[in-house]
Amino acid sequence: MALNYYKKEQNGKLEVGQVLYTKKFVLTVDRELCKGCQLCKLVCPRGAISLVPAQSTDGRALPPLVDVDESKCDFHGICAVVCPFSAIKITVNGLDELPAVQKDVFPTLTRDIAADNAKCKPGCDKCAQSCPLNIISVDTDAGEVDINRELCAGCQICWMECPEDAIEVTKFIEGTIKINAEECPAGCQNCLDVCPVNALGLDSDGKVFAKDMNCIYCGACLEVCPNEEALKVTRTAIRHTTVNSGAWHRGVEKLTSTAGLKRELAAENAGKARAAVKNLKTSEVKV
Amino acid sequence: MSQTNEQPRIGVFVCYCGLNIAGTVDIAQLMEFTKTQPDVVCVVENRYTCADPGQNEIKKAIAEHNLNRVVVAACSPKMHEPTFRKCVEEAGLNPFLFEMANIREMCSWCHPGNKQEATDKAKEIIQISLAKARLLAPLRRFKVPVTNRAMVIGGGIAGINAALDMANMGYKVYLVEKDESIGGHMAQLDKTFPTLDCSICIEGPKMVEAARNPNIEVISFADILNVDGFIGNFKVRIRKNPRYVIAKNCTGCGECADVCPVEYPNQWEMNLGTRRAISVPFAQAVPLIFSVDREHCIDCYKCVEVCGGRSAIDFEQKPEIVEIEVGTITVATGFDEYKPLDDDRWGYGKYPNVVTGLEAERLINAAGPTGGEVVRASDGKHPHSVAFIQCVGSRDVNKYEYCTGFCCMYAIKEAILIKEHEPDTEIYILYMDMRTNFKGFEEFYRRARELGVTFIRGKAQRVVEDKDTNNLIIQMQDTVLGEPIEVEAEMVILSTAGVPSAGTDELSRILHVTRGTDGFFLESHPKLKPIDAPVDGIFYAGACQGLKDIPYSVSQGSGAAGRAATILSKDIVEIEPIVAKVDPVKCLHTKANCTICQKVCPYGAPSAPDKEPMVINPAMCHGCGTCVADCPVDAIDQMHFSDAQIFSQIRAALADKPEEKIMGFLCNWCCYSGADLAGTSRFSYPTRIRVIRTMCAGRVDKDFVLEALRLGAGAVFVGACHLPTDCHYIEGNVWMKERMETLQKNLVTQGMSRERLRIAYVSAAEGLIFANIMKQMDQQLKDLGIDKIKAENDALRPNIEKILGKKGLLP
Repeated sequence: MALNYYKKEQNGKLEVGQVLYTKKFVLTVDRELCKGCQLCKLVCPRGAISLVPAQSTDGRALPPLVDVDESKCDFHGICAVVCPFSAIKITVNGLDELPAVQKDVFPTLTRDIAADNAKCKPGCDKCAQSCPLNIISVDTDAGEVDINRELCAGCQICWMECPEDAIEVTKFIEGTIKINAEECPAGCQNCLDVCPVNALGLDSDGKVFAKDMNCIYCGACLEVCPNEEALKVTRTAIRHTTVNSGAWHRGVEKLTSTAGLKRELAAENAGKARAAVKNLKTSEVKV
Repeated sequence: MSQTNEQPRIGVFVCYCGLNIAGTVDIAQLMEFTKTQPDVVCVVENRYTCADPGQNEIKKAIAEHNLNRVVVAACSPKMHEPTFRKCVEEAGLNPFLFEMANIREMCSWCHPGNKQEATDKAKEIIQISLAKARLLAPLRRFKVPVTNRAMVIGGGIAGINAALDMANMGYKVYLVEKDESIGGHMAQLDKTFPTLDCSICIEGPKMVEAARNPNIEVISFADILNVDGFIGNFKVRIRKNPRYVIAKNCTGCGECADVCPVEYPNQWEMNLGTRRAISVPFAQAVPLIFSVDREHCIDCYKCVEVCGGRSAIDFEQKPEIVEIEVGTITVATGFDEYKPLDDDRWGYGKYPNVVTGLEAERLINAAGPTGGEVVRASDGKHPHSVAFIQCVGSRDVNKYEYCTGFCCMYAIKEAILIKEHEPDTEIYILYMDMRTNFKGFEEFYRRARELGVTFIRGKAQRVVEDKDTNNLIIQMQDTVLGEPIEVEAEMVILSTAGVPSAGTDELSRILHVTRGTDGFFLESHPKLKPIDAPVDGIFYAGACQGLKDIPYSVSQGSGAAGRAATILSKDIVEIEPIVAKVDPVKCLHTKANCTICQKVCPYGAPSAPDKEPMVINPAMCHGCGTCVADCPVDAIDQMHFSDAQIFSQIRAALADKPEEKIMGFLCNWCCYSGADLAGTSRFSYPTRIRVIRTMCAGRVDKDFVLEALRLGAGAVFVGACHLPTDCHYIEGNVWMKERMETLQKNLVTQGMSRERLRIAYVSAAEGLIFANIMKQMDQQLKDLGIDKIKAENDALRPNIEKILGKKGLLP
């Protein structure tokens, strides 16, 4: 049978697929959820994902658009696993269950966000107001907070804004962001334009500064920054369920660094992962 | 057997061949004439020289007259040269001191109407043979040792059978397969026609037997890189591709595949289903060794973990190059199914419910991706109607002209199987002709009709899809009704052509074996050597030589084993000594780095280190003589077809009335045989031509043509095998064409009429064409007139003499 791949763009979604006689693999990217960060592109072992610069009409920078080469994609879904915004979905014969996750090859990210409704004061919806991704809704009469946890990117803004200390958020990507404003081209605020979680601000001199507290280290800003000296984002650790898999370690190494991977492997609960690395004959990483 | 430098003492034996010769040629005149020829010491006439009494006469005369050369004037050398060579050898004479004068096929049979002219021609044919005989030298056949091991390339059913037969005869066999498993296409089939045996059930045990046979080493997942050497002594370099699984540690348990998270299209399943990144292509694979596809593997090492202490998985594995020496090679590389993606008439690749025959086979097969359910790709439902379109790509002058041969039968088989699975399915077979001409085939065809399969005769023209139902509408011309009709079916199966397997082209280059215009390997002789490749020691089995079904492939596999055993069973093989030889003093490779001989040799026989004279490996030389003709300094000569011999033949042929004659150079395999056939078929033509036989038209030197013209020949004829691939020596005809067309252009600019150098391509089957060319040339010479020919030759002569004189070729 001729290999049958397709790609289509409809209803705000990019869909690529491979149709075999008995199997249908589909990957969709929700354009609304996708913020044009770089994580999927970085981890794809097939080099199937690219970012296409978006054309701005109003002078403000736009995040790039994800494109997937349907003939390269193998649909194993590490992209879907690492997407901070859960913008990527993969189905096999219509089932939304990744074999690689079921088989303990890829983990799920640990999205820790919880609201203590007991502490909530009726009438307050500061968390919902402040959430840059609009995933929190509040029943102000009852003082009940409803969070779409799957979509939480961990920016902690809600937590900072909450006057009652009723929400707690832990980032699932740890790292650092540094802006060397002297290197910024005059008037450029591309990073600020595209940051999905408002983690960048302008100071009184019109210079961009980073709010480390809120940054999720997704790297969307890096994709639009014209000078690589001006902006540094490093990821040091990813919080996820433990897995025992060379493929994931390689992913971690790509997202963070070899040091980051070593740190992950050195963690106390990483026994399974360390065992995997012993099998990982080709890796430079030694336990 | 000294006889080299002695004064020739020639015995000539003139054969009546009953009345075949004597009915036309005046034998008494011929005898008287022959007796007057220099160096002839005895002339004997015989009613049948080839019969025992005739042969005894030859032996007696050799002893009595102390003969050191023998000429038999009788039939074609293609008929009885081997007979008489053996005869003189038995009498103690070197067999290469024998020459034949063909006065039957090339004289009495083709000139029955004119006895005197035929007799005169016969005299000159004998003179030409005597001229060569005087210069014959005794030659010894080369003896080369034989490596008593065999290689089979391709592990389909033909290759497996060839390997098993040779192994059971006691020879060590290397069975090389490019895929991960042996089995070939037969392993993909559900049932076989016309008996409906389960295909893998009968092939599986053979596959296992091959793998277990202590004389067979299966080298799977490997590529042939290079083949050197010659009959009895081939050196084959093979690359074993890494499986990333250590064969001896892999138990074939399959636990690794269970944990593997990655799936990719399974080519062995015609991409209908998937396989894991670590897997075997199918459950019955032999050898049962898993392999990792590193292109799709994401290195999760789940397999390594589950394999555990067996430690079979090794991501560090590298390709391994091995060199193997064998005495024979059997090529059994099979065929591929044509995928009609380049022909949008059939909707293949465009409409989901259009599949090919082999894909349908996997759907019918219970071990296939659908578990034996014939379902539509569009909705997963059983089709209520299925239409087979026959001859997709085959019997199509715009695609593949040949008949694939097995599609009629497999369409019937698949139709019957679908009926068995789902009796209510309507089945149409749209055919041009049903070809059911082997054992049990016609009965099988009747069975399908009785089961209610509808056969519609006509040529399908286009398949279109109904967008709502995904049903297919086939537009066709019904040749019985004589009007266009439309057939609607829920599924369409295309019976597509078989094509030479991928890699056939490369392998033909590696092995120096020819392919026919259809792309399949070309046999040495279509009737008498259908299994032999043109290269000695290489044989064909199965569909690589031309499409064939399973029993035919199996038979040919056994046949190829038998043919190979004729070599493997000997300690030495003899090679004809008609090879080319380089004069190291004259060779230009020493100073000018000339490599023309290497360029024209298709067998890689000439070689030399830098600045040293070329040496032709006699075992690799096939004796075409192309390098001899193309050597710019005449440093190469060919044994038994030497320049001196041919020059003296030309001079003998043109001694008398040259302007009336055509000097003919005919290649042994095609044109000479075609001319023989003209005689055998009694196509009569004018007597002008005087024939000199060369093994290949590539041997025909420009100097031969020039010498003929210098001597005043009316015309020169060069007859070769058809272009591009008929040449017995791969491309001797191509080099001849290049050389002769340049010469012709040159001569024409110097005033020669173009038709006086005729280059023609005549196959062994084209006797009539040869006779017609002769008639045509006769007329052309008449039209030109002797005076014009003489005038043209006179004008050419000074230049020719200058050229030949420089080379010292003038008498």
